[in-house]
Amino acid sequence: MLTAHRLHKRYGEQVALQALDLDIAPGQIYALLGPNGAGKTTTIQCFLGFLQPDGGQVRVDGIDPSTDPASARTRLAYIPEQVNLYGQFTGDENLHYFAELGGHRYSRREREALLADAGLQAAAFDQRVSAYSKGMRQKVGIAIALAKQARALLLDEPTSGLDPSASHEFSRLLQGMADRGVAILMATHDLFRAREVATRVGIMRGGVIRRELAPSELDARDLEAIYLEVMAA
Amino acid sequence: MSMTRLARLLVQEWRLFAANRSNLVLLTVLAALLGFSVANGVGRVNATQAAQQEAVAAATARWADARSQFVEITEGRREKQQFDDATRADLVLMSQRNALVLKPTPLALLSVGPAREGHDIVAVGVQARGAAGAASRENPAIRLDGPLDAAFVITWLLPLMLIVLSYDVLSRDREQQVAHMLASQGVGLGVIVLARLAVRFVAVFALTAGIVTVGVALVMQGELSRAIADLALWLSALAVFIAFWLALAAGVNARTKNSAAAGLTLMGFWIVISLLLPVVASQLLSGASAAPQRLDSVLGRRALDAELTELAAEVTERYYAENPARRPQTPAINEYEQYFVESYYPRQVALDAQFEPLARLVAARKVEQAERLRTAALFSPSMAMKMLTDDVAGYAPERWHRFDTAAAEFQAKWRAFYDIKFASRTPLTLDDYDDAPRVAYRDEHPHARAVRNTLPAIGLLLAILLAALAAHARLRRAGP
Repeated sequence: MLTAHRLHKRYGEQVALQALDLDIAPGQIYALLGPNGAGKTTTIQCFLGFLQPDGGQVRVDGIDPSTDPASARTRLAYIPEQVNLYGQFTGDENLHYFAELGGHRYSRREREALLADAGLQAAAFDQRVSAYSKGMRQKVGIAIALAKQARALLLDEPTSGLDPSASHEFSRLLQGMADRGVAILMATHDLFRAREVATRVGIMRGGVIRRELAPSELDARDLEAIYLEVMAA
Repeated sequence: MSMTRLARLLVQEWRLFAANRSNLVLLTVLAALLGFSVANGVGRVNATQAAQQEAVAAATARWADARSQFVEITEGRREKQQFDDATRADLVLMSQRNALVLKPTPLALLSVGPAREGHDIVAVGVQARGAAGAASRENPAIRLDGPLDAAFVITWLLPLMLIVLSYDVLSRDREQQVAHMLASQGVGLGVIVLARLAVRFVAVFALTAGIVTVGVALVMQGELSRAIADLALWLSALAVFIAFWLALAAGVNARTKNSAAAGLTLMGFWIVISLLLPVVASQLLSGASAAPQRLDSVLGRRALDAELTELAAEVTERYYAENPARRPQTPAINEYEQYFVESYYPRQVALDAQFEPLARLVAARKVEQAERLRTAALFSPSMAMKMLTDDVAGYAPERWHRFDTAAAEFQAKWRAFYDIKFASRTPLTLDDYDDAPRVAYRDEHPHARAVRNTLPAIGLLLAILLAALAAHARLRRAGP
């Protein structure tokens, strides 16, 4: 569903991605770990078609996002690290707006269910987003991603700003989506969450995936040790 | 993208637009400005129409009154008085001044600022022509609100409103980092920007067109169909003018990631297009086809009048030498008759004849300036809109020149009919009353205004085409 083959990207002299290979099948959750500047966000932006690769190939369900971004994006849902929404709209109105933009129409009751699934308190549905905390905005972002019913999900630090119970709920949601056959690529610093939900983990440094492993075979402490080992190498 | 999805996108963008209170405040301010300027225009046009009707009615009543007095005198029911004798050409014709009026065009309310107060009623008789408008319309307090007419609001203030409404149509999303969420939904940013601008276009166009159309309907009093041609031309120009500024905003937004920079860039465009280019064009054309100022014309006419008064005897002699048949065969009854017939009247004829070249020069220069301004309007949509608006409102020099020419022709006809009787003191007959030349001025056809404004219209179309192409090229490549 999400594939990258020998993907290259440079920002001037700075190499962001170097011969990156990635293949995420439907139902898989791939966690990309790595320090800031490792190339995680660049990888996601290449899948979204926001950045043009300098070399290699990237495909979303067989579609090249750099030549047909609209088709690729209809198959994708995306939650950025900072979910910023329209402050003059309520949470429900933002969901309505983005869902319509994504080509889906939901009734008020369905939207409420989506917001509740994302973990937003019912009292906040009709509050203006300008009064929301970062975590509340993140939950609306999750609801928007759920509403899109996409075949692939790209997440850039999705649990940043979420409290532990919301993060746990989020992990449960991701598992549910993966069970429905959604391919998920998640860039994160959260080793615990990565180990909890991912079917595979890639540890990136300098635009290259240095290690790839199945975290289900490890506990969080092992993963942290491997991560630090890769960073030190 | 399917039409249904596009329609749903437009609805969502409308909701987003309406949820921003500052947009609604701006639209309210625009409505207030337009409402005031249009109400001001309606008041002025109604006053003009009333003054014209009054002038025409007074002239008609005066003529009818003189005729009935003539009938009473000839039937022996009325005595001739020294200064009240409807059989004497000098007494009747010196006081009879027909009112020739240039009726306001259906869209006159748009540009009451440049209105030539009082010049839309010309008194035509055997005496020299003169403006015959109500003096109260020259009152400074009444003239003060003239500049805030709809043409000013639409040409200069409307683009500012459009800039404020659209300067951050995409750059704000980038600034607040909503653009990534937006762009990831599968609808191109270009389509979203287009939908946003379409919403703003509909809001501003509907508001402006609605207020102006209501104003026109008030002025036309149930004869709105007469305004259709001018209204269609002007509304088309308005649509293109609004679309131009919005396309400019789209182009700037596609490139800029910062809303303040986008706003400043658009303000720069406004300064160049709406202020600098018109000022430069005006300065260049004032020098290239300088027309005498109105004051110079008035002073020139007065000086000419004073000179002719000084040479009164010579002027009279020349008149009778050139028109021997008009020399009176009988002596004057009194000094008034002698003065008006033998001195004043020849001077009036001479005044008109000698002032004619200056009047023709002024008219020609004004027409020349207007033609060159219309060419210059190819480079400034604001100039094009102003020229076109002033023209459909009836203030094109060509239309005034046509009216002045018709007034001169009517005067020549009137004098040709009467002045032999007037100058030779031949008594009037009933036929002289009944066969008098009739005032029948037909204004130019709206088609003439459309043809005259081909260049400004091309200018507007070129401007929107270039702005739209530039915006399209940039929006296609625009990322979040």
